[in-house]
Amino acid sequence: MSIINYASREIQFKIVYYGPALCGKTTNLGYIHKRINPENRGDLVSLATASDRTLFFDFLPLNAVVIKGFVTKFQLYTVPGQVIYNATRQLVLRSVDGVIFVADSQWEKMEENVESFKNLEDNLAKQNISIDEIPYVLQYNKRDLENVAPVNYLEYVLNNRKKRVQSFEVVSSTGQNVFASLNAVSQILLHKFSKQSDTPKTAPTPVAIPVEPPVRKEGAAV
Amino acid sequence: MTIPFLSYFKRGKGKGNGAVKEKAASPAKPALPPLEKPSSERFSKTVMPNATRTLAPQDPFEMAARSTALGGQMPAATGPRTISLGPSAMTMSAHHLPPAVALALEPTVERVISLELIDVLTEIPPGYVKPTESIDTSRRVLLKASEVEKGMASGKPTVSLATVYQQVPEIFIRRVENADALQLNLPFNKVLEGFANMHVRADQERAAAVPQVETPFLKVTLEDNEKFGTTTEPLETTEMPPVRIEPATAEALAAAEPEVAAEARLKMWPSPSASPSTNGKTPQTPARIPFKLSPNGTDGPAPESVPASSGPSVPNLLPSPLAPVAGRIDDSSRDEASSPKPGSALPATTPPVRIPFKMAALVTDEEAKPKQEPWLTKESLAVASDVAQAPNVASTVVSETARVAEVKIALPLLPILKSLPPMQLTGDPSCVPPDVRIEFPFALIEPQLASGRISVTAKVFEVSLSASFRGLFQAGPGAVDVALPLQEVLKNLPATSLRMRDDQEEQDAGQNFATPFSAKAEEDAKRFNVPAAPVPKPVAAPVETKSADRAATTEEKTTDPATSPEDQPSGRPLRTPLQVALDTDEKLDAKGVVALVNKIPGVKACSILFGDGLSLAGSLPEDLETEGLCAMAPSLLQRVENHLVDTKLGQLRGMTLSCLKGAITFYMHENLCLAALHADLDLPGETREKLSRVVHELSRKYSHPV
Repeated sequence: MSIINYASREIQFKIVYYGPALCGKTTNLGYIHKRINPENRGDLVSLATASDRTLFFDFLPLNAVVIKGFVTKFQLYTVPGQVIYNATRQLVLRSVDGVIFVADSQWEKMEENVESFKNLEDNLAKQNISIDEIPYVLQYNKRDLENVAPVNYLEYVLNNRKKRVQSFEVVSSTGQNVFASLNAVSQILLHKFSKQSDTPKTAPTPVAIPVEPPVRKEGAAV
Repeated sequence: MTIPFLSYFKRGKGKGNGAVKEKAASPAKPALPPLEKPSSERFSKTVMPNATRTLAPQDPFEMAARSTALGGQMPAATGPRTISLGPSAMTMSAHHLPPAVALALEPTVERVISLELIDVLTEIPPGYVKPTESIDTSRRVLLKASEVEKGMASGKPTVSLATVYQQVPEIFIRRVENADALQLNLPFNKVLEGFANMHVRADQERAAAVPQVETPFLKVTLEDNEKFGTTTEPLETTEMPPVRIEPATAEALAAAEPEVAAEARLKMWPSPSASPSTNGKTPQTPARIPFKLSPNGTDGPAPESVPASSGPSVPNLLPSPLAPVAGRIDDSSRDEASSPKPGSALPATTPPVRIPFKMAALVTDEEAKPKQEPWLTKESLAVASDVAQAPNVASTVVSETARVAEVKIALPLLPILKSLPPMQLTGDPSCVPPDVRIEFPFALIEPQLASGRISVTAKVFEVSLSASFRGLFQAGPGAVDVALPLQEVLKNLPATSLRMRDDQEEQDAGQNFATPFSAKAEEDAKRFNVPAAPVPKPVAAPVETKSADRAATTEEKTTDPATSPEDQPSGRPLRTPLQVALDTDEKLDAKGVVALVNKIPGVKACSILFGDGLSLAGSLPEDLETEGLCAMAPSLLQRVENHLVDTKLGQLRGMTLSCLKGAITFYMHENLCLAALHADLDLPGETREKLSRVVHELSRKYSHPV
């Protein structure tokens, strides 16, 4: 659930990149970190093993003003994909607002994708959250490789639920559709937040409004 | 000596002695109204002070027997037993209780059977019990069913003497210890009768109906049903008691009598032993609870079991060309199959709602012969052949069932063999020609499609191998399953196998909101020349309503590449980033990249170099003799980049050497360098941007080849 701090006029959204090992979650965050204006982002905190695998999680705070009078902070997390780190994944998933499930498109990774998605369902269920209640989108990553499964099969495997979610063909190493998927889940989050704030409450709640896209400054990282 | 509070004690004692007299003499005082606690502060159990609850010592066996085994034969009450229950408790069911309370109140009942004492007495050795004349031998003793049933399989049920002692200690002369191992034989028939008189608990709930899906065992089950005259309906052991619904009026409540419980009667339907004639009346077929069927051939909602890790995601709504069609079976034979056979115990009433089965398409007689399907046991094959030869009514149906065709998909054998662990190989798989295929039943493949991994057991694989290659494979005991290449499986699947469910709801996207990432997403979409829109819902190929001939279908599905899922439209073919950067659909190699870079406005010629100076491809004019410079360029760029760290100029994008006879710009990323000779004095900004992107993609392609 999003955290609203009326004193500091901040709203925090927690978005978790979830998926099997080596599917490109950290690469997603690395690309976002590289592309976002340094003024609007914090440092990318990454706890990795010697083999560069995420040991605990990656963390990237992003600040923006998309809700009038409130600073919106998006906290992007990744989870370790390795099966043995399930306790860590459960920890990172606590109070999650949105999920980007990163699936590896390679043929030999299909089973891991399915297991990881099931694991996501299970871990959310332990928090009494249904996967259908939480905003999430699917990323079919590594679409630039040659040994990838067709999108319709990935859809059949991962997106054949009653509620169809948005899915994106992504190449996280180059950044293709990385922001599109993050944008999609952010929109769903803001939409949900806006709907919730429509309900009458005693305390005044902010209303999400569209704003002009930030102008890219010269000298920003490419 | 003054004892404090003594006066209170005396007053209380005197009050107790003369309480009755005082009560009779003095007028009745109005009773104080009980204090009403808010419901939140109450305990779940309220004890009323005036209610009496006197319980005689109860034997657990006796308690158990009252609730189960004896039915109407309740033993005589051994003492007053009054339990006062409030009206709320009467109406409250376990469903309305908190789970923990409901669990605590759940009756923990031991299964028991009862026998007459005389049946046990005859088996007790002399010296243990009193003379028979002094014992009421007609009374019944209760025996644990779990203890007695151990010997039922051998026809010799026994019970320990200690158990009998626990039940009727008064008939014994001396004490029998629990550890006494002496076993008493019991009359088999009476024990069997006792077991037969057991009935299920009255508060049972019907388990959720599981829709019948097509499994490898369905065919055998159907054959067995025909053979034994059974159905696949779940066994009904107790009829539901009749329910009388009347408006609750005061008169009705006053005149209300307990409903007569339904006569407990074993209904081992459709076993002949439970013939309705035993009761002398024709039983009414209870109204069946309509099952909610899955979308497997129906319009019901689909179960939530996606992703397919938990099994097949959603069964296909469509009659798969491989799926059997119910209408193929002759109506006459179906009628015969569904009607009760003479002598069977099936009541001649309207048949209950049946779960529709999928029946496979018909094939020719030759194909109808039972093949060595992996899931067919020897017994079932024997049954099928026997039944097919038997000239009875069921033979028609069985032969029809036996002719059920199993559509198979063919996969290339070579990659499967190559992926096998060495312990399962007994020869060199490279001797297998690449065009040799191995066939597997689609029924084995389909349930695994959504799991992301498709495998068959080693036994199935061995059976499916042709005889000429069977020597290459050894299943062995404890052999691991054989994984099938998912890519090949999908190539050979029917197009409708991956159909998405039709009742999907779209996500509430909220696209009116601009987020901090909207601008970047649009930028990237332009940069990569791909839409930032999500993947559209895949559209399945049109469905063939008529199931075609099996052979034709198989051939079509296995050989027609146009229907392979890879070729189904999921948008236009995806370009690689390098193709995007150069805006081309051509398959690119180093020379192709050079040719395309030369066509970029402002570029006359170019060369691609590795970081160590070695040239990968190039078209720089030889007369300029730039090889040496190009070889040095990567190290120069690295040095410059090192010095740029100390500046605030930002990341190095390129280095241009402007000379009298021309200009050359070097771009470098990681281990790859691109040298571009200018056509004019300077390069346009767009060209610089493009070249920078090209060298990025080239470095990904050649520095870290996948």
